[in-house]
Amino acid sequence: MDNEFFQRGKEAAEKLLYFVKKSGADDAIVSLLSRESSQVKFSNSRISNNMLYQSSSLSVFASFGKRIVSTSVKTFDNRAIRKGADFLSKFAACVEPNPNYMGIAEGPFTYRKDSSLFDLRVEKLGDRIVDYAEEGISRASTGRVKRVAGNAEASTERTYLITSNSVKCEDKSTALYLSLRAIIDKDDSAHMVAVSRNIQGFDVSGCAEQAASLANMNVPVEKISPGKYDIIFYPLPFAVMLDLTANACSIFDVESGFSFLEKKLGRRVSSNNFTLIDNASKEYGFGSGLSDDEGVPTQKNVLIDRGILKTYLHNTSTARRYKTRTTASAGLIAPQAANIILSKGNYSLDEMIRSVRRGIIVTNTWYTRFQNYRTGEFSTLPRDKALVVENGKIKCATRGIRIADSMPNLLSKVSAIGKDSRQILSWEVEVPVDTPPVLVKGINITRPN
Amino acid sequence: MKQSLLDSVEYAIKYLEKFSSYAEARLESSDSSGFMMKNGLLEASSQDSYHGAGFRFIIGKSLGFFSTDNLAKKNIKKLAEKSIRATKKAARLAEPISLGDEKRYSAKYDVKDREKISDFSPDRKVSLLKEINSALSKSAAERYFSIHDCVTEKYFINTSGSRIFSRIPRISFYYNFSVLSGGKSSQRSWMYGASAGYEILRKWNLPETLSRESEALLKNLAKGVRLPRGKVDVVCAPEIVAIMVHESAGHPGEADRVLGREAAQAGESFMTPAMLNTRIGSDLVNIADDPTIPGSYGYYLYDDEGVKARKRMLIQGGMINEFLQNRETASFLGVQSNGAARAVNYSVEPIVRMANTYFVPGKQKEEELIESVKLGVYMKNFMEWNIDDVRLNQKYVGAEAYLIKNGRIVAPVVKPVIETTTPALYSSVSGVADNLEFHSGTCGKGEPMQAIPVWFGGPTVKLSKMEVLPKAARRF
Repeated sequence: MDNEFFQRGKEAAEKLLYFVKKSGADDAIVSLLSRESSQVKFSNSRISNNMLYQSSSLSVFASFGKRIVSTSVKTFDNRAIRKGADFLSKFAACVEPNPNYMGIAEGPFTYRKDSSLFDLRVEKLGDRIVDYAEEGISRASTGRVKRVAGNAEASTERTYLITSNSVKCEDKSTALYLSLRAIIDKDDSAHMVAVSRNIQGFDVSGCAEQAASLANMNVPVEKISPGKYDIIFYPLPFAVMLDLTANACSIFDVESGFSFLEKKLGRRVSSNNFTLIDNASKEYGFGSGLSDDEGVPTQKNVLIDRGILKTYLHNTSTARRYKTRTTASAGLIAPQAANIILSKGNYSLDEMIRSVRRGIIVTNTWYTRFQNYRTGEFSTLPRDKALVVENGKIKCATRGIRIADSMPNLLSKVSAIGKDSRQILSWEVEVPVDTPPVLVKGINITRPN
Repeated sequence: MKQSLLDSVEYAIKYLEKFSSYAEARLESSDSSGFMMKNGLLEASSQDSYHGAGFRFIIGKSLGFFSTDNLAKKNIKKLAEKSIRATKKAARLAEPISLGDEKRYSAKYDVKDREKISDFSPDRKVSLLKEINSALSKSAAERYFSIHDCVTEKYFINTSGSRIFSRIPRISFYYNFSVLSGGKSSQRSWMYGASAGYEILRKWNLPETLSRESEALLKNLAKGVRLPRGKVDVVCAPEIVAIMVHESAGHPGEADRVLGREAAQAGESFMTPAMLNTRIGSDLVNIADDPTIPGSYGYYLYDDEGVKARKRMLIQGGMINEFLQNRETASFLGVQSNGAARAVNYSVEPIVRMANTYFVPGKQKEEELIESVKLGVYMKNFMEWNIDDVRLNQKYVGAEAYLIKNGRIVAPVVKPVIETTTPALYSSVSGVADNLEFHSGTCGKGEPMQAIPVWFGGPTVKLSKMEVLPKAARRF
């Protein structure tokens, strides 16, 4: 990453904050984000494209008498910065105040030192990302696996955040990501992901071999009847459920009608073995960072404690409105989760399988959609290998089914949680999630006739 | 577009030409604004702009791509060198790529915005949101709206000599609202979008449209009945038909999915090259995709590989007719690209995408289709839907829906569910009306995710003898 360019960006950010304050803003937050990443996409066991992305953005959020506005500045020169600041005050004069807006955090803050989020070897990785793609393809090409598809990516991100309330936070992180699908045919495949902040934790071989091993599981395929089944969710599909649950904890989603957790604070929302945490201060967390979007140091938030909803996610403004404390979850407009963790349980995957009389092991899902965000009614489609369990044993694979149930029901029927966790980021999981496999009893399965 | 930016991409192309057999650049500059209102309060107002360029090149038989918003020549050269090194290294395992032969174009086109986006002041946009909020506030307990506009200028250049300039203004409006009645709730999420200026608001008539929808949902909650069990005829209004053709004709017809290139992302397709010219539905089924429809949300005249756009007939007379192709897939399959390569912005590679997919209208009237049903359901719009990753197994849950008895709409129906397969769906088509309507969406594909503007549309269509599940367990 170009250090000189980033330093110029920091100077521009300081000037922008100065001019925005001078133009009459009560609150202002200026953030600089620079990102560079290398990506190798592969399909049919061949590399299909090699990509390099570089971006920098300088953006500003400001309040002028509760008139909330934001803009971005394209270039770091003085003219563009002054123009951006002038524009913002004029823009604010055209919009309405939001009486619900209660300000931003008061700094300064002290930030922890966290060397776990950055690895110089990742920043200097260069074209060696190609090696990871090759290793993934090679390790997954075993047994009946005919094709391997996926994506390997390495990225470095630097941020600089300053506010009118004496906040100054500079952060730097690296990330490695592998998404790999081992394919036997269109109806028979397995998908795994690997994520890490550093080279040491990036288990390409393990990810590829697990995908291949699952794909190679050679069992007959049978059609199953619609009805209630116990579902063992692998980490990849359960991460989708947890991402949706953490989203529903955002006070913004609650107020907008996007949450099934409205009016549930202090009440039971899941089985008592279920504890859900958002912790962006966790070492090595794929969504961890030093601060939220208004510069508040990140912290551990227990969202659901042994089944009881303990808090919604807040920024400073929403927290003041609800007479509570920020959870360091800004999102300046909508508070959001950053690094979701389901507390581990005591079960091995084998123990879960042995405990199931009539169930399905779901290893991936796809296209999860709500019928009603408020009630949490949803459906999703198992993708890749789905295995039918009868009397504690894997009997066959199945296809063409749909999970159609509700989030409150699903959370209340979590019956066992695995002891081995995995960090997940995937096509349908936008916020990183750390979860073990999970057994949920009596979930509704449908299929077309 | 600034001359200095144009000079930078010209420089980049000349530089890349030294090392590659083919190179192209997409320079893009965009100004946008967005306003979001929640329960009557203005939560966010933003105005943004960006510029940047994406570069694609072939070295040997390997494809490389890089993008940046720092268009200083020194930076471009440094990135190009890095990207070339990685692309050369990947050659040992790269899919041999050919982009085939394409014509060279010099073109300039734009979309006229009669009420210019730049002239439509922020307070007018806020007033619109307030008006919609006011229209809905009596019937909808929770209301979330956002309006967004952008004007994007794009300059495409390649080493074959093409130079294409475009300017496209786009406006979109997204909404979600909840209605509550008797301890129950129902929700509606939808959007409007077009390539146009703010004159489009008159056509959308948002306050009245949303108000009518919320009243209908309330009525549905209060008076909805359950469907009788068994197979019934379903009359699908244009919005339902639109999502159906997008999901189960457009997506499976994307050649990159057919060839497995999206296998780890958006998935593959049940369709294979061998299925071209085979039957997938009744002979009433004609489905097209056409980027050149004036005013459409997915509008373009040249795609992001510089190929001239044209209408594509995906399904004709019930037969699979044509896939959506970019240059790479077309070359692989031995055909010509039909101009379906799109990138959501300069920073990502162009991939095969839909633009404006629609069920071609027939000659019947919607009323005739309803009158022809002895017992069935009329589905006006929907809330939940999904489809599997090879685009066979799909589900649509009606939001506003009605029971049809002896050719007449007699009562609202609660959440009828169609769960079917693509061949079963298209084989059941027994009537096609003439009332073509387009709807708007943001279609997701690729990695990084490329959420791209599209239209999807169709007329009212009758499906015979469909299994429709009655979701409600009791009468209201």
